[in-house]
Amino acid sequence: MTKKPEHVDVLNEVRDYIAGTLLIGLSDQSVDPDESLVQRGVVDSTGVLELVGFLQDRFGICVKDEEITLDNLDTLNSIGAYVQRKLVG
Amino acid sequence: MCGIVGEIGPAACNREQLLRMMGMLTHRGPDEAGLLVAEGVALGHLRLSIVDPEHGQQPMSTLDGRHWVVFNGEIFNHVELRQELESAGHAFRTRCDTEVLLNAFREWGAGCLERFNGQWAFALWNRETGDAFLARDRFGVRPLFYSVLPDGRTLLFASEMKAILADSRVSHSWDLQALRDIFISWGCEAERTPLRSIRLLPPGSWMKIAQGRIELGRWWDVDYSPEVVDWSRTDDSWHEEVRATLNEACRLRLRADVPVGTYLSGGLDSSIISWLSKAHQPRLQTFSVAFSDAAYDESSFQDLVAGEIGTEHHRLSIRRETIAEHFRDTIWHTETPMHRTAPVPLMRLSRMVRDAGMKVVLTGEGADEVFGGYDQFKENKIRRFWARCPDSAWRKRLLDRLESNVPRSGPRTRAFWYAFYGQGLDGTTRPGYSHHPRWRNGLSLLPLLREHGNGQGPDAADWIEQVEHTAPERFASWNPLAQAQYWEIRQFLAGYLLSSQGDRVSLANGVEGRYPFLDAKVFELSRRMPPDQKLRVLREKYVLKQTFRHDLPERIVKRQKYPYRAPDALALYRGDHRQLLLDSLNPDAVRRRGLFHVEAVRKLMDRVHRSEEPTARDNIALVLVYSSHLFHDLFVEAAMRPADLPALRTCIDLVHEPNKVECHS
Repeated sequence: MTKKPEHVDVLNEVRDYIAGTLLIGLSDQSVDPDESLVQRGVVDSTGVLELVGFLQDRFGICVKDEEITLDNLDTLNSIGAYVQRKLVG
Repeated sequence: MCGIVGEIGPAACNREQLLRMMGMLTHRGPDEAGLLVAEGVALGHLRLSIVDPEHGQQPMSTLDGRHWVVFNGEIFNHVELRQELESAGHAFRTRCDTEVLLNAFREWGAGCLERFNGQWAFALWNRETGDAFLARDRFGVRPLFYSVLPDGRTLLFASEMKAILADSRVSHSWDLQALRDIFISWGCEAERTPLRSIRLLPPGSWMKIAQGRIELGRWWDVDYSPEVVDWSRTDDSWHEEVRATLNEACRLRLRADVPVGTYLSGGLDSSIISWLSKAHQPRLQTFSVAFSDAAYDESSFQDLVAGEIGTEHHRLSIRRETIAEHFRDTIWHTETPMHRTAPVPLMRLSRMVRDAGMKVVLTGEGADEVFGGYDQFKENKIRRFWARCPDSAWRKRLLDRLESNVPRSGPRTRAFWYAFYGQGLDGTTRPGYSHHPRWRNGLSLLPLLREHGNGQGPDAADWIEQVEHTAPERFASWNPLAQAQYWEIRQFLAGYLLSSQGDRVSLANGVEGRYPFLDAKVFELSRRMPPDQKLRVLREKYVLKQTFRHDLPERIVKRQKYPYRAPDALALYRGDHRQLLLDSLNPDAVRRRGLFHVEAVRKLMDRVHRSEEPTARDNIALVLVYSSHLFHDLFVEAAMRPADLPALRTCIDLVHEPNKVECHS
C-alpha cells in the first residue's frame, strides 16, 4: 500500500463494501455511520467474518480474534476508527 | 392415504372438470379412483389402498345413502370406535375407517372429530339437505386447500393446490403477503397460500357449507393451560406412562393390510419409534438417507441402531447432484418456496420405500415439538435467564452450547451472536419472545423482495405484532416453554415439517407417513407434564431419554440433537445443474418474474460466487429466491396437465341415475 488512507477514505470504502456486498437489499439504502450493523440486520455472525476478510485484504491489517467485538466493528464509524488504529499501530 | 377433490356450488356436476382435478393427484392415490356427481356437488377420490383394499372404495355413503364422503387419511382408533358405534346400532359393510367416519358423523355430528385419533382431511356431503362439512386433523398432517370462486357461491377443494389450479376458473396470481410470511417464518399465516385465490383450511378446523353460505370454525387447538399440568408425580411414573402411551401409538399405527416400515434418521426419536415397532413387527424394514457430504451424514448412527434393533435396513445415498437434479420436481410437490433443500432427499427416500414394495412408514416427526427437543427452546430459556441480569458476562455464554445455532465460524464471532440474541432481551412478556430472533432473521431477508424495497413492505415490528396478536387466549399464563412450543407447532410443524418434509414428499411417491409422537393421547400426556420433564436445565427431551435409556444404544441416547439438513447452495450452485439456477436468476429472468429486486439478487449471486461456502443467510436466500422462481414457473405461469387416472372403480351419477347409489365396476 502506497499511502495510508484517511479515516474518511476508510469509511467510504467500508460503506461501499457494505452497500455493494453485504447489504442484502438495494445498494442505495444508506447506512448511517453510527447505526448498529447488527441491529440493522446487515451483519450477522457469519457476515462479520466476510467483513473481517474484506478489512484484512483491503487494508493489509491482521484482525485478531479478540478484536472481533461490537466496540470495534458494529458501526461504520467504529470500523473506520479501528482500521485507523491498526494502520497506525 | 389418498387424494381428494371436489366442488360444491350451482355448476358443480361438471364431470369433465372433476376429472381434470383428479388427474392432478394421481401420485397420492395410484391404486384406484372414484367419483360422485349430483346436483350441486362433485366429489373425487384417488386411493392408496391400505385398509381393506377389496372394499372401501370412495366416495362412500352411509347405508341409507344420505351421507357421502371423500376421505384422505387414517383414523387409527377405528376398531375401537366401530365397536362403540355397533353397540349404538350402526351397521357396517366394510372394515374401513372411512365407514367408521360416516357412522361417527351420523351418531355424533361434528363432535365425532374429537373422538378421532389420527391424521385426516375429509369432505362430507348430506344428500338430503345439500349441506357439506369439511375438516382437518389436529396438527395438520393431511392438507386441505380451498378456493371460493368470484361468484361467491362455488367452493373448490383439494388435497393439493395443483388440483384446484386445474380448474380454468381459478386465477394463478401470487399472494405477496404469503411470500413475505414464508420468508419470515417458513410457513404462511392466516390461511394464506402462495396463491391469492387459494386458502388452506387450518389444522384442527372445520368448514360448513349450508345454503350457499360458508362458515369456518376451530374444533381443536394447542392448549397448554397451566391447570392441566400435574406437578405431583415422580419421574418414574412419567416414564411408565410415556412408554405405554408411545407403545400404543406405534401399535395403532402399525395397523394396516399392507406391510409398514419406519424411517431411521440416526437420532433419538426415530430410534424410539423403530425400537417400539420392532416388538410388534418382527421383520421390520427401516429406511434412511445418507449423504456423500460428511457434514450432513448420520449413517454411522443409523447403522448402529439398525444393527442393535435388528431390522432389514435400506440406505439411500444422496449426492449433491441428486439434490440439484430433483429440486424442481420437489417444488412441484411441496407447492411452496422453501428455505432449504432438505425435502429433496426425503422425496427420494419415499421413492425407495415404494420401490421396496411398501406404502406406509412410521417416522419420529413431532417429538421435538411435543417433548421439547429444539435448540429454539433452550435459546428461549437462556435469553430469559440472561434478561434477568443483562449485564452478566457469563449468562449469555450459555448460548455457546447451542450447537445448531453456533455458526460454523465458531467462537471467533461470539460477540456478534451475543449481540444478535441480546436484541429485545427485555421483552420477556411478549407472546412471541421465544421466536423473535428467528423472525428477525427472516425479516432481514425481506429487502430481497421487490415489493418490500419499493417502500411498500410492512414494518418488521408490525408483522411480529400482528402474529403475536393471534396467540390464544390466556397465552400469558402458559409457561415459557409451552409458549415456545405453541409457535413451533403452529408455524414450523404445520407450515413446513408436516407438509414440505412430510405429506407432500412422501405422497409424491404414494407413501403414507404416520407420526406416533403426534398421537392424540401422546400429546395429551405431554400437556400434563411439567416443563422440566421435557427440557431439564438445558437437556432436551429429558423424559424420552430417561424412558428409553436402557433400550437404545448409549451413543444414541446421549447424542445431542442433530438437525436434519442437506447441502443447499453447495448442491444447487456448484454441481452439474448449476446452469438451471443461473438461467433462473440472471437479471432478465428476475425482472421478468417481478418478485425480487434485480440488484439484490445480483449481489446475492456475487457473494455466493465469491465465497467458498456461502454464509448461513446467503444459503437460505439463494434457496428461497430460486424456489420462488421455480414455483412461479410451475404454478403461476404454467397450465396444469392432468395425468391419466387409475382404474375408475366407483362412479356415481345421481343426476342421471338418482337411485343407483352403488356402482362399483
